[in-house]
Amino acid sequence: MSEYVLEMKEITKIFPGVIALDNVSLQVTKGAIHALIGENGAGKSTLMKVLNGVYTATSGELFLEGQPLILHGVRDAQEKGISTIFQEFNLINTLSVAENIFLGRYQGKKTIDWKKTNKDAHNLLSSLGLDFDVTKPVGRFSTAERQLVEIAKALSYQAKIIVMDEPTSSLTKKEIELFFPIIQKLKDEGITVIYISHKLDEIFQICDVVSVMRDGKLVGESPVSEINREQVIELMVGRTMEAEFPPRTVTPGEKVLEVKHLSRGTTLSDISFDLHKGEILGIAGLVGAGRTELAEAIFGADPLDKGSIEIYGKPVSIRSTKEGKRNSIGMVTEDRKATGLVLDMSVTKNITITKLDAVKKGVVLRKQKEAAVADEYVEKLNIKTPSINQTLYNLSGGNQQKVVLSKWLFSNVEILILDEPTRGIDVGAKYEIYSLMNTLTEQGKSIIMISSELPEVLSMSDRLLVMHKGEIKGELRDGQMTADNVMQLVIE
Amino acid sequence: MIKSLPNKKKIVTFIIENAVSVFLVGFIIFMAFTKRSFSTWDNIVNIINESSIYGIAACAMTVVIISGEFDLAASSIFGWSTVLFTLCCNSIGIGGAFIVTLACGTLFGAFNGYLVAKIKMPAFVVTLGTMIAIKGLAYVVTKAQPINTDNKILWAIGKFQIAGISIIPFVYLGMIILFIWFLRYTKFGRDIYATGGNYEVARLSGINVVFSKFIVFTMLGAAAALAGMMYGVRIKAGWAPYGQDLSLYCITATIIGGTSLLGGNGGVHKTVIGVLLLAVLFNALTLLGVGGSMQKFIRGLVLITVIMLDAVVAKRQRE
Repeated sequence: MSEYVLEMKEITKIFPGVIALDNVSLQVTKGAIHALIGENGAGKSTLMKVLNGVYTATSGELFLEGQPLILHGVRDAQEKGISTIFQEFNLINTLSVAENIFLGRYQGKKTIDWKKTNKDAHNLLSSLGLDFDVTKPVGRFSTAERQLVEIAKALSYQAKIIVMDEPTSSLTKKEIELFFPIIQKLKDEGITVIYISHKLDEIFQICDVVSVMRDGKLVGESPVSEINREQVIELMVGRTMEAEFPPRTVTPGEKVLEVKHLSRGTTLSDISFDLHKGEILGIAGLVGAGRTELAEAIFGADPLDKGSIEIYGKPVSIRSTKEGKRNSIGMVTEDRKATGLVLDMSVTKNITITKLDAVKKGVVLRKQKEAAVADEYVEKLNIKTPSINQTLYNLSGGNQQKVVLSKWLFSNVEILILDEPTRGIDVGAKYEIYSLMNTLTEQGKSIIMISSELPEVLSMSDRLLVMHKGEIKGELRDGQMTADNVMQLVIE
Repeated sequence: MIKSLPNKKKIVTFIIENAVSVFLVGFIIFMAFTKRSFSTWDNIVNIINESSIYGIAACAMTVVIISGEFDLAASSIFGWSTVLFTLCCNSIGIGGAFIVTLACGTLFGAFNGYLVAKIKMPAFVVTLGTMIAIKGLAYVVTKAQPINTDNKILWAIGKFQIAGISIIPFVYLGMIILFIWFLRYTKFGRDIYATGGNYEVARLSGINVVFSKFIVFTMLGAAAALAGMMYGVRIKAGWAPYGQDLSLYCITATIIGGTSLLGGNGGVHKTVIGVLLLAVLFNALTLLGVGGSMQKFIRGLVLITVIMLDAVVAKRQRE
């Protein structure tokens, strides 16, 4: 018997023109929480897709508990004890928790035995220390709760290994604190967790071993207790990083935007604040605090019911995104794939989408002008793409995000709302985006930054608003901007 | 050997990317050898004249499909337009008839567009409803009888031809050029691609998505009316059931050409090939002695096959 629950031996995966995995060997100890990190495009996802049956390796072998493992698709992997929890959950919101857990494997002989189905689902969740109403549709549960349903589903397959892809990316700090004990519980029951994350803090908090990937290769592996944060970052980027955040140097000027007593439906009530020229105003809070809703109300995506907005002291009415844009407001949405980019359009077309008027003559679009604009932003923002005519499917998260930023820079708005601007992108690209934010504010633009990553929002903001349940609970300045103070404001 | 490999690859990729055109050319060559009457000038002119009428509507249908929607009412607008055009030719003259019919078709299209874009009703339900309603209206107005016209100018236009080619293919050519230009070189065209590609992204980029969806239905209404009038010019009559299969024909031609039902992709230049392929295919069936009822059956099969291929390709792309 091998001491490893899983061995991946000399795995190579070649796609046409690209070596995605280059001779990667990974050994995972039973019952360990094994972190797998690396920048986007480093090969983590490909490696995990070899493990969960999505891809077949070009060469190399898999062993599960010492036995050679050959997988025929995701379902097969699941049945053999390897479950994956993707960032986008595989749950059907309209079906109940129990139905989701046993989807396609209903209990009972000829007809579905609902009593047994519900009881089994309930028992699975109880084993995690949870008490859910399993007959309620999944859509009524929060993101964090849905994730737990996914874990219960994995357990129902008698999972030996659970791969978690960025499990905390859409959870708030509080939810994460509730989530970690569950992972611990899995470990105690001898289940192995492969934990993919960009958040180093978490890895140091809960993982036992960390493997670092870069450019399709495994570049380092160490028990977490024998390595520090800087060393991990160095392995990831392949060079020494001076700092995670560039220093802020801009002194905010005159008042650009003032929001007075803004309310919308049940999600926002009586919100007032202002934004100054060259300022980065952070907005922190839990998921569901109303931060995105506030941004959408200001931008016109979901207009306000009550209250007023003034720009340079003049009251404006913003009833649609078009009017938002006309009033010089742009918004980078939190989900770039769903709401930020038309993925099967080219880089060029995605950038010029916000201001086609600037590249047309009469009514005719000038292709050369468009190409010149795209070239300019590709260079300015260091967007890595084979060509400006490339569709966005194949770009990495960081480069996609730069395209989203480009489109708003091109529209030349004065006020830029960034909703989770660095979600799911790697350390190097994050730094570039922070630097860009600094450059923009130096040029006199003003930024509202919504972020669930406290270190980021604390380091980059000149001022910080803390929202909770649709209200602004407090404003923090200078020395007051600490994680503790933010938490104080959101804890009831 | 090694050197020739990339060339071979290039040829294979070219064939796959232009499968429809390659199939069309192959089919034409096949027919030319098997059926002498196929490659006569008369038959070629016949194919061009016949396909141009529906082709006019197919251009606009392509734009609707690119915007991520589709339209079933075009066929009834077509039938209604043959009736209205003929009636007006008999009363107010051909110039007035042209303007009234075009305006009416545009209004019907705008009504569909308003319900889909602004009220956000599903296009299937809206256009199915207006399809039935407009057809009903045409039956009521004509008491279900065909209406003839002896308008002299209309007969003169109908007679016009260059080497057998009537005026209709020239109108079709004009529509092709107009729509290719519109989609490729105007802001509205690009907005329609963006709206069909991802509605939310387009909306959050400050594009007037409601207008984009509204305008595509309006354009199709106008194009269907124009096609109906061309049909009127050709047969000098108007009747409610004319053009019953227009909508599905246009959708089939669009998808065969390579514009995806998912929206955001494709173009009118592709639909032109689709229209031609369908025209050649059904012309061949007629020449081979396949009866009208059988052709209907085949038409249905072609539609389903094409939509199936579209779904398969879409699935592949996702993976």
